[in-house]
Amino acid sequence: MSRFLRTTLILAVLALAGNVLLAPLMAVGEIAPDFVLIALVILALGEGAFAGTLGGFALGLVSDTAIPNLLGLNAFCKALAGYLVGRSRSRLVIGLPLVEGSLVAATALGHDVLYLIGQSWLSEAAFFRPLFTVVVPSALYTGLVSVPLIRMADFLRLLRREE
Amino acid sequence: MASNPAYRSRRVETLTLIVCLVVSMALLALPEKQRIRTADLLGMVLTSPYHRTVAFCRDISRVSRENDELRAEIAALRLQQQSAVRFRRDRDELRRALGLIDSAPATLVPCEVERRRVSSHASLVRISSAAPADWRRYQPVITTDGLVGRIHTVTGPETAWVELITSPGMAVSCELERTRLPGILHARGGDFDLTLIGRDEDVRVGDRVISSDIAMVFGEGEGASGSLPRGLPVGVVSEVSSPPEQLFKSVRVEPAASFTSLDVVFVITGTGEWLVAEEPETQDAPSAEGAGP
Repeated sequence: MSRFLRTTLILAVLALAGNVLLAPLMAVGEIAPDFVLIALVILALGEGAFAGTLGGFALGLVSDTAIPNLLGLNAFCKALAGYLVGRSRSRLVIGLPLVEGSLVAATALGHDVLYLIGQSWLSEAAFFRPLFTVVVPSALYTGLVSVPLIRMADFLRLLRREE
Repeated sequence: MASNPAYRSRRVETLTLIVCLVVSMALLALPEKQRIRTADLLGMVLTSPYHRTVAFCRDISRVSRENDELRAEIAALRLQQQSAVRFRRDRDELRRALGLIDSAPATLVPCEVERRRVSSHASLVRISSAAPADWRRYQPVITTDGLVGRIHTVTGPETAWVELITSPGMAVSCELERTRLPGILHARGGDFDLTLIGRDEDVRVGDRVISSDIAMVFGEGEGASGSLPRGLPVGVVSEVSSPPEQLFKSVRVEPAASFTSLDVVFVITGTGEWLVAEEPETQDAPSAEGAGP
């Protein structure tokens, strides 16, 4: 239990401090790394689909409070992302930076595309322009930034290699 | 099933996912008003203390530098104000002689944006004023650079949600400052389109786009409601083309205000003409709500 609390605490700090302090400094226009998603992937890899789903839902709900007209959409996408990453962790080779970076980039891409679909459907927002100008580059950027963070998480023994 | 959350059974995991997805969809299905109230409540519980602390720390670090800049700006503005007061007095005398003077001048209420870094997906931001304000739906909201939105939902005497003009459903009545040509501004990606400009009209790159005092037009079946004061800066024409198959020009507009890092905004309250001068006898008295630029 103490391990679970420690993991959650470290990842909560990573998500909040990263998104509020680091992301604006690292942003290139609208393209910025998504630290919340990186924290979610680490949580799901370390603690499994149950924690990934609940953590994704909670982090999504916190993000949703800033966009009330789409309340629930972030929670939906992040819960699903946390679940899928948690379920797939036994099939992944943790320790290879390329695998870890690709996993985070693919999760970010899937999450953002799902979000964009929901947003376009609910508020008639544009789909293709933000998809190519923001979502895809941001997913790649997030994947790139995640590599040293996942290595650090592994060093702190936040990732499990069982199963 | 082990006691550690990492080893829950697949059924528990799937059930958790289903519950989370159902709750998310239930939140999405709420009527808009209730959704905003719920987000407001969740924000107050989950993120408001954190955002206030971060904002306070940032304010402390920048207050000294900003104070110096503001002192210099105040000195320059005082000099400008002295000549502006003379012009206003002359203008008011002429307007009064013609029976045009307005009795309820519009004023600016400074407000803080509670989450400084606005997501590119956001179409609503929450603002708070230092003192209770006379909020009304559709009141325009500006920054020192230009128009950013309008009041969408009033949540308290000091807080309200602002709908940004980047919102997909919103359209703003505008005109070109140089030619006074009217058009309708729609958000598209990070920029805007100015529509209903005839293909033979004179529009150039660099033309300033300002708000017009024709009623604002909104989506979502609300019809036309609310109006803007004329002359608020909205943006600058960045691209003009006349596609041969279209009756109207295609005009792209770069917004005057930055929407990704909103900090302080001003709500225009009052129903009178924009920035009507005070009565001559109160011109030199300091005003709490401030005058315009």
